[in-house]
Amino acid sequence: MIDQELTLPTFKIKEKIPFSSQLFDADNELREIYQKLGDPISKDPSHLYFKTTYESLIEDLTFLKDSGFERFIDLHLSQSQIEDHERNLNFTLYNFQNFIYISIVLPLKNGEKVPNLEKLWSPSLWEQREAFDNFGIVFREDYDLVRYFSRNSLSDNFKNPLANKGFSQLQNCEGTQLGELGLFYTSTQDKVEKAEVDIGRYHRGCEQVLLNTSLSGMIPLLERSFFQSSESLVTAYCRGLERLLDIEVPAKGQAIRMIFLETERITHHLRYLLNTFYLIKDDLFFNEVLSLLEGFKYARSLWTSRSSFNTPLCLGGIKEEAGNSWLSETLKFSEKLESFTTRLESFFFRDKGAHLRLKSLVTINRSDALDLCLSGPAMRACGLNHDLRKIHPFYFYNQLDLQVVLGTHGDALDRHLVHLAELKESAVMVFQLLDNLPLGRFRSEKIWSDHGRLNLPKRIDKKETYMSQEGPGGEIGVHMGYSGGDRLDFIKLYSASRPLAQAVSQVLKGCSLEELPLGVSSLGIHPAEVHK
Amino acid sequence: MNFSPTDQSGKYQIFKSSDFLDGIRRRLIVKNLLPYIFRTSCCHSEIESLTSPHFSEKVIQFQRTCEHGDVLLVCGAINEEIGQEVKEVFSRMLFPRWVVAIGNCPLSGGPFNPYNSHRPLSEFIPVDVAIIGCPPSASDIEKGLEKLKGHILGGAPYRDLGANEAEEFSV
Repeated sequence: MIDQELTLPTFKIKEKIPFSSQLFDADNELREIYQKLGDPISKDPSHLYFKTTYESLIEDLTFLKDSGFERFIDLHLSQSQIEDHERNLNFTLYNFQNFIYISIVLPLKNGEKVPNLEKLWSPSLWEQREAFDNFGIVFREDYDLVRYFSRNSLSDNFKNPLANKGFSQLQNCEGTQLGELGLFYTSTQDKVEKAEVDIGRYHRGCEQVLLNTSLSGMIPLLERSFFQSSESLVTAYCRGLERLLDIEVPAKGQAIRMIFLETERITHHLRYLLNTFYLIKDDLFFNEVLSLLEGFKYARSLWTSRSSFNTPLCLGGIKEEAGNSWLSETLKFSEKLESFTTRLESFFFRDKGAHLRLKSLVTINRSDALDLCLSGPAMRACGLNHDLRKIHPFYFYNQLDLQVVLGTHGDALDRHLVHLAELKESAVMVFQLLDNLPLGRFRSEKIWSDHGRLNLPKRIDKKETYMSQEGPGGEIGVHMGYSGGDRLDFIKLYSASRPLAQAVSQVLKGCSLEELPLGVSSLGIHPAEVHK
Repeated sequence: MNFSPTDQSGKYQIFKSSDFLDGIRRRLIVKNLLPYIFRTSCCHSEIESLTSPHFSEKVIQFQRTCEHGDVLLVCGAINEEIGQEVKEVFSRMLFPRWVVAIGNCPLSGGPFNPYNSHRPLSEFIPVDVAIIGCPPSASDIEKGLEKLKGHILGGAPYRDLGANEAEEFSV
């Protein structure tokens, strides 16, 4: 579709650093895994499922961690609602060298406690708490059993656990993007000693509500659950279901989905910059970023009648055709954006004000980023070359000349520069896509009838999948199981903000109290993705 | 001007908390409403678009701290812990102050209703105007704010106006 050459932004922070110098010998490694864990249940080569038992769970997971599956994605309960009511606990891991996902499936037994994974991966703690609260799954050994949500019925000790331990709350959370999440900290000599994010005050239980809605009715709910990165969540969900039902999206639908994904990335990054300019108190840039942000929102509202909702995406493609006014406005604002980013670059590169404040603020080492299971711009700022658009390209991402921009120090300045570079790249990609917008159908005929009705199979074999993609703040994924009909068997949402919010306790250590709001906002945590 | 008759010293004395002065005050407030947003959910992205000339004729300037706000815009579902925070923010606001609930969430919990014990906002603080929609569009919110302005001019009560605060308003 796209043959035209790109005029890529002439922007590069430092040289690219490869992820690992050792090359991965896939056949040998996988053979060892097969020998250890037995044959996989599924046949999909990019996502392998293995069964395990209570006794060998920890052993298997440590073996996998040593053999390259370093990143813990999440754990979730997979169950079929219609038949057998078999309950399995799935632990999903990811390998950075060969980019393969692995799921370890543990069939649950009544009355037995599941081994605790906190020592292996620290981000597993919140997942375990959630599994306990949602499904009543109890884990072995004593861990910090703070209720994840619905703490209203509990005593005061549980209601405000951090406030009772002598933590003080960061009062003015404006501009830190934290919103309804509370940031608690203890300090000595104006430096942060311990910091923690308090979750559970505003848990909405999206996954539980999603299970009781129809497949097409899920899309507006998904939008409202991750409202700042709703487009990427909805596309991940649609792509997952399309994979299960073997549906191909027509070229026009693919291109428009991509445009919406990239414009969402732009608005997200603009919002990120807006927060820093608010905290730095640079009113000129603040107003300029605000006007650009609203320009993109306005362009979107010409199609969808809302500045941030009513997505045109649906299963099998898009709902309606694009309007011309939307197209011209989006072009207009992406042109403006390109000239604006060059000015911003010079602003951040100058050794003054903002540059000095952001430099060496809240630094994350490369090894820490791996341990904390980070992803997205926060990870790329540490110099780790990992972008899912590059690794698992879908639609036309193969044909666009995408360049992964990396930082070196992993501090707040690098995070800002990575955000800026990605902003510029997505603007160029939007240009390119709009120029070469393909013609033809925009929706698959396989599931949509002529009367606009969904044709879903009544019964198919039980299938599971994990669909992930690069959202604006990092990886966004959907676990889902489907066995026909208008309901899913289970659904679990994954976002990169959750490990980031958990990383706060380790990362903010030693940060001065004055720069605490700036440091937190530079991480780019979305509250909606954390509490769901 | 509506001044009181002269007293013994021969100087004019202004009525304390007179209706006339109250009317002037209300008209001045309505000319330039200063809203503060309490964000917990997705509606705030629609409210933010009121700051641009694309969506509304009159550009509204939102306040960065609640102490400077006249109107508290609450969006998002409320449970007990969030409700306590809304109460705190409301108590920190200076008089006069009004409350607008935006979206379905503060009224009924919205799409995520039956979970995590959602409660209506009016259980925590008094609500003057409620704008329905999931989310309401920017023009809907603008209409709602105009309705509030009419409400203010028509003599909506100053919320929680005690005896001490009455003195504050006196000239």
